[in-house]
Amino acid sequence: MPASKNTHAENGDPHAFLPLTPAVFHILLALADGERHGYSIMREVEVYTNGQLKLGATTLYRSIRQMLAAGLIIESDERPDSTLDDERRRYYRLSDLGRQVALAEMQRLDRLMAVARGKRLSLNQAAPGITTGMTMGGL
Amino acid sequence: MSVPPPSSSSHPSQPAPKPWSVAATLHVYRMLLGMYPRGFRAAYGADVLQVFRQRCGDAYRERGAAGVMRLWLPAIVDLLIGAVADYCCLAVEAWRRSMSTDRVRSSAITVFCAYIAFVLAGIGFQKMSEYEDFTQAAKAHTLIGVSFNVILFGSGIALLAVLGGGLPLAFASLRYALSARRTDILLLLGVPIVAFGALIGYGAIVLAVTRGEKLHIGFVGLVAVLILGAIASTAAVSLAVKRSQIDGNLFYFARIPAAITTLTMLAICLATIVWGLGLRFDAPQLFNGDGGLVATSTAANWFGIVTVMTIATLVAMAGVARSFNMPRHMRATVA
Repeated sequence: MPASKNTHAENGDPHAFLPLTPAVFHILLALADGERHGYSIMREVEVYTNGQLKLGATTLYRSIRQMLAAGLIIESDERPDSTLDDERRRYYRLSDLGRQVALAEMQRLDRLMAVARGKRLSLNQAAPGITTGMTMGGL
Repeated sequence: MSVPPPSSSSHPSQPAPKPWSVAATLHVYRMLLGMYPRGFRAAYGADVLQVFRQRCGDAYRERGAAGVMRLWLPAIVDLLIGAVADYCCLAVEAWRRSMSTDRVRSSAITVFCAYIAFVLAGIGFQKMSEYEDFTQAAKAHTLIGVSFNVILFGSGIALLAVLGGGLPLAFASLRYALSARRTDILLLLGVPIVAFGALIGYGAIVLAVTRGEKLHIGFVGLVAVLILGAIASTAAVSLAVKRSQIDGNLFYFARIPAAITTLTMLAICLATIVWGLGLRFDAPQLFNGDGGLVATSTAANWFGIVTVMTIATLVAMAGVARSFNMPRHMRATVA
């Protein structure tokens, strides 16, 4: 990230973080419903992408480290009941900034979709193997 | 807190026996994770292993040993790419830190060198203005008197600021030289002592040879020894500081005394100009006389002193501006 972009990011401008890497965006989406631990994030992403995106363990935690440093997510202080889950697991949740950044990225992608629709692209022209379930905005 | 659907993987407090495929995979994975920088391993190593252990457990339950084997390639690729990226980030950060430290270090050295040049010019001014005629003029004319007092007061402040910023650096350099057994740095730090000894020795020799007569002949030599000693000392100390491994925060702190020194140099320089102009208008006989060093032209001496002071001040200002105009990412790495 260039210095000027860093400065905006430090000032809490959500647009300064865009575009997000796929891993970061998916982690934000996975945490949109509530707190999750690392493996739960990984499974959630896998489920809603129909298994097309499998985050590696190190990719996941490198992204988490980066997002914690940027203030997009927060490590939860609370721990679940030890009878239900492993106490040592770390749980993460979205920060207000993280939510704003996720929304900003969605808006960015929406605008991109609008441009794509304006170019008269249709699903009939899609490459073989691309399914409607995986496309965003009904392209 | 919403607890996600529990994975069917084993709870760490009740470890279930692992199939050989899972155990071997985890063993290799743990070894490969050792490639990562220590900071990442310390912070997230256990979490990464736990997540991968659960993934292996789930894969085994779904597809047996074949399912675990299918994890190998993506896991190795993920590990390798992540490790390379992490080391690249560390290298970039180290480079930025070194660049920023070099920048504040060279800035501090620049201001120090400029200050020494300024002091030499100041010594010339002090020698010239110490004569009775000049002190009387300072008492008789407000402009000359006020500007002279500004020069005196400013000299004290500048000296204190240089000591405040420079002594911690000199001590840090000395400490590093002693701990790292760097004889070259110790020798460099000894140059100012040798130079001072040479100055005292030269003075003593001149006094002994001339027996207090024709001192002006020896004075030229004394000035030469002083200037040469100052140049050698400045270069040696600068080189010693440059060669030493000193905490970047010390250089970062030194920016403030360096800025104070530079501002004081500017004030002294302006006061010296005002002093000369005041002398020219209020006591022209002195300004146009031969009250300079070794009975040379006062005006020429004043002009030479002002020229050296101006150049030194501009150099110091450039050095200070450079250290305060560091890009944000550089400042972060120093602080």
